[in-house]
Amino acid sequence: MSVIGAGAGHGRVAAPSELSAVAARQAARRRRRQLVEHPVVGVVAPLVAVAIVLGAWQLTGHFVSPILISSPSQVARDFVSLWSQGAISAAIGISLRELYLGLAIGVVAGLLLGLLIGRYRLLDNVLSPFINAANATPLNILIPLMIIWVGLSAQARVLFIVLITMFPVLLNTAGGLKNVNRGYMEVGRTLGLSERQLLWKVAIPATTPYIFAGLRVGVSLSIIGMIVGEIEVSNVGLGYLLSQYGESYQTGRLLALIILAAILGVVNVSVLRGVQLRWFKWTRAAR
Amino acid sequence: MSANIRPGARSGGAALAAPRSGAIAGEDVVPLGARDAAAAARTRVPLAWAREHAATIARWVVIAAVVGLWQASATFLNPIFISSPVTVVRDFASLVGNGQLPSAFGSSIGELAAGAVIALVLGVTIGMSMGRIRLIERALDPLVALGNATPSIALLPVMVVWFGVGSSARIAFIMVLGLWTFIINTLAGVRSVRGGLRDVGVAFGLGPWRQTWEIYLPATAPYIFVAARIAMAQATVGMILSGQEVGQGGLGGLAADFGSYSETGQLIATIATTTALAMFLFWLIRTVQARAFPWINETSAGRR
Amino acid sequence: MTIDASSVAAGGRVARAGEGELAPPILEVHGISKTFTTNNREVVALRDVSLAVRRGEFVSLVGASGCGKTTLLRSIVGLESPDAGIISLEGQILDGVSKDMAYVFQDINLLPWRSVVANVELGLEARAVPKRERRERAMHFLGLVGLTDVADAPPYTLSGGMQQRVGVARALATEPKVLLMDEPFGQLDNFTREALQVEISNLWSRLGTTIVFVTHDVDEAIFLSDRVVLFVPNPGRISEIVDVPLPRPRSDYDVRADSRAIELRSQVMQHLHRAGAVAG
Repeated sequence: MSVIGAGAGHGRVAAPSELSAVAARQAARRRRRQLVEHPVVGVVAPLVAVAIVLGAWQLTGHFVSPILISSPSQVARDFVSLWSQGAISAAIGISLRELYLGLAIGVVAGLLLGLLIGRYRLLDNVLSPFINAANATPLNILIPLMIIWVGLSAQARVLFIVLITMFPVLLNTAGGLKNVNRGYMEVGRTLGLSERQLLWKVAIPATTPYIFAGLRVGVSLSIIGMIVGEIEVSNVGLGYLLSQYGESYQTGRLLALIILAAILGVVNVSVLRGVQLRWFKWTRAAR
Repeated sequence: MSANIRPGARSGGAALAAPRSGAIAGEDVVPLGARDAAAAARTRVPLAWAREHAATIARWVVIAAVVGLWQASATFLNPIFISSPVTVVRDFASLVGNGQLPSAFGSSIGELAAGAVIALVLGVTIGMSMGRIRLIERALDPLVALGNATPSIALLPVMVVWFGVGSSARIAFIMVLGLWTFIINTLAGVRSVRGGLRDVGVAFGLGPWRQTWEIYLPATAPYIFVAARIAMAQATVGMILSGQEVGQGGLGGLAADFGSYSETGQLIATIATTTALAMFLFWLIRTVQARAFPWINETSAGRR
Repeated sequence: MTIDASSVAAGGRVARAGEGELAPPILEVHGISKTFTTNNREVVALRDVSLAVRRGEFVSLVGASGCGKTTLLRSIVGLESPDAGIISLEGQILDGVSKDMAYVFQDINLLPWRSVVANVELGLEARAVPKRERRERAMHFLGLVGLTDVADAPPYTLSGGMQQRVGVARALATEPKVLLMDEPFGQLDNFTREALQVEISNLWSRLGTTIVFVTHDVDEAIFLSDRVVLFVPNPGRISEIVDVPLPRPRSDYDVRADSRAIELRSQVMQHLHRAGAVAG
C-alpha cells in the first residue's frame, strides 16, 4: 500500500484501484507527450496547418484562382525557365553588386562612427538626438530626396543600402563600447594599462559581441534595403523584377524570386555566423 | 612617512573617457587637508552642474549651427537640391493648411495602426499557443521559420495580387512585416518561462488559462515590447513603401509625388513629419512599457 | 593576543612581548572615509579607517557584506577615490591607480578574447616588456600556479578554480609590492576553495609578497593570515585587529582542528556579533 503524494490529502493511504487509475492517467499523458515528438508529426503537422489556413482562406472567399497561388512544381518550372532565359542572372548580378557594395560601406561607416560615438561622450551627447531621429525614421521616405540628389541611379540604391545597414551597426557598436564590462576595464587599470592601451586592448575587443549583434541586424536589413531600393529606384535588379511580375500577375515567377531572395538572406547571415564561429568563438561564451 | 602631503586626487573612475588624475575641470579634487567630506562636496557642486548641462547646451549649439549653415547654403544652392529651412517651414504650414498633410498623415497612421494591432494580436496569440502547446509548435515552427526568412518586403506585390490595389493590401502588408517578429519573440518569452515560474503556477494549482494570464503574459511582456520596437521600425517602412507603391496614398505617396515634381521644400516637410511620427511612436512604446511594466530591465544596445 | 582599535591609529607600531624590531610598514592607510549616495540614500561605507601593513605580511580584512572592506581594498589600489584620507606605499602618497600593486577580482574577469598566457602577459605589456621576455615570464608565473599546459587555451574552457589561478598568476606577473585580493574564492565551490587556499598559502611562503586579503569567511582568514582585521558596518570601520600566531607552514596540518585556531575563531565571531549588535 502506498501513499498518494502532495495535494491528495495528508498521507492518506491509497487503495489499489485508485493507484492503477492514477498510473493509467500518467502513462497516457506520457504517451501523448512522446507521440508529439515523433518525427512524422514534424512533417505532417505543418502540412495540416497549411491546409487549415488555406481552407479558411477559401471559406472567406478570398481565394479566386491559380493566379493567386502557384503550386511548388509550377514555381520550380518558372524558376528554371527564368534562369535559362538569363533574365534572373543579369538581375541578380546587379543586385548583388550593389548589395555588397552598400553593405561594405555601411558596415565600415557604422563601425567607425559607432566607435567614435562610444569613445567620446561629447560626440555621443551631441549626436544622439539626430541619430535616434534617423534611426526611428523609416528610411525609404528619404528615397525621393535621394533621387533628387543623385538621380534614378545605382548611387541612390547603394546609398539607401548604406543608410539602412549603417544604423544598427552604429548603435550596437556605440552601445557596446559605452557599456563595456566594468570588470574588464578595472582589470586593465589595475594592471597598469594607459588610457590608450585600455581602449585598444580592452574596450574595443570587449565590444566585439555587440558588433556582431549589430552586423547580424545590418546584414538582414541590407537585403530589405536592396529590394526596396530596387522597387522604388529602378528598372533593373531583383526588386524591379519583383514588382514587374507582381503587376503582371506572374505569380509563379514572383514566388520563385521571393524564394531566391530568402535564400540569399539566409546565406548572408550564415556566412556571418560562420565567420563569428571561426575567428570569434569566444563572443558566444562571453558577454 | 613622507611629510609632503600633496592634494591626493585618487581618480579611479569607471568611465572610459575619464582621465586618470584630476586634471580636467570638474574632476573631483580633494582640497588640501580637507577631511570634511561636506566641504569637499560644496566645491564640487557648481562644476558638476555645468558639466551635466554642458551636453544639452552643446547639443543646442550644434543644432543652431546646423540650421544656420543650412540656411546659408540654401541661398546659393539650387533650390531643387535643397530648400532653406524657412521655405520648409512655410511649405509645412501651407500643406497643413490645405489639408494634404493631415489627410495623408491620417491615412498612413490608420493603416499602420490597423496592421500593427493585427500583427500584435495574431503574433502574440500564435506565439503563446506555440509555446504552451507542443503540437502547435511542431506544426507551425517550419512555417514561421520560412516566413521569417523571407524578406517580407518582397511580399508587397503578392499582397496586391491578393487584395487588389487599395487600403487592404497596405494593411495586410504592414501586418505581415511585423507578424514574424511578434511570433518569434513571444515564443522566446514563453520558452524562458518554462522553468521556474511555470512550476510556481503548477504548484499553486492554477488552471491553464489562468496560468497564461497571470504568469505567462506578464513574464513574456518584456519580449513583446522588444518585438514591438522592432516591428514598429519594420511597419513604418512598410507603411511608407506601400503608400508609394500601392496607389499613391499616405505619407509615402505624398513624398513620391513631391519627389517626382521636384517640390523639395514640401518633400522635406513630409519627411520631417514622418520622422516626428516615428519618434512619437517609439516614445509611446517606451512610455507604455515604463508605466505598465516598470520592472522590466533591459539593455538598449540596438534599437532595431 | 589582540591589538585593539586605539593603537591602530598609531600605525600599528606596537611592540609585542618578546619580539624585537618590527619590519617597517610597507602600506599605510590613514583616515580613509568614503560615502556612497544611491537613490537619495547615503551609505557611509568607511569612516576614518586607518591601517598599517608590514612588508611580507599576510593580512585579512574580515566582516559581513557591506562593512566597507572591499571599498577599502579598492581605495588602496585606486579604483575608488576616498572622500578623505591618504594611502601611502613605501612612504609615497598614492595618486591614481598604483602600478606597484596588483589586484585579484572576485569575478575573476579574465579577458575572454585572449588566451590564458596572453591574459597573464597583459600587465607586462603595460610595462613595455619585449615580446619574448613577456612569454617567458608569463609562463613562469603560470608554472607557479600549475597551469602551463593550458597556456594557449581560451579562458572559457577552464573551470572556475583554474580561471582564478590564472587571475592570480596575472596579478603576480607584474611582481607587485602588495597583492590585493578581493574575495577571490567567493565564486568557487568548497573543494576548489580549500585547494586554492592551500595554494595561496604556499605561494605566499615561497614569494614573500605582501598580501591584503578580503573575505567574509573567518576560517579562511585565520588559515591564511598573520593578522585579521575585523570590520563592522554602519558606518564601516575597523573594530579590532587580531593576531594569528599559529605556526607555519599551515598547509601541513589541519588548521581548522587546531585548538588555538578554534579559540581564535570563537573569539573573532564573538567580537563580530557583539560589535554588530551594538552598532545596530
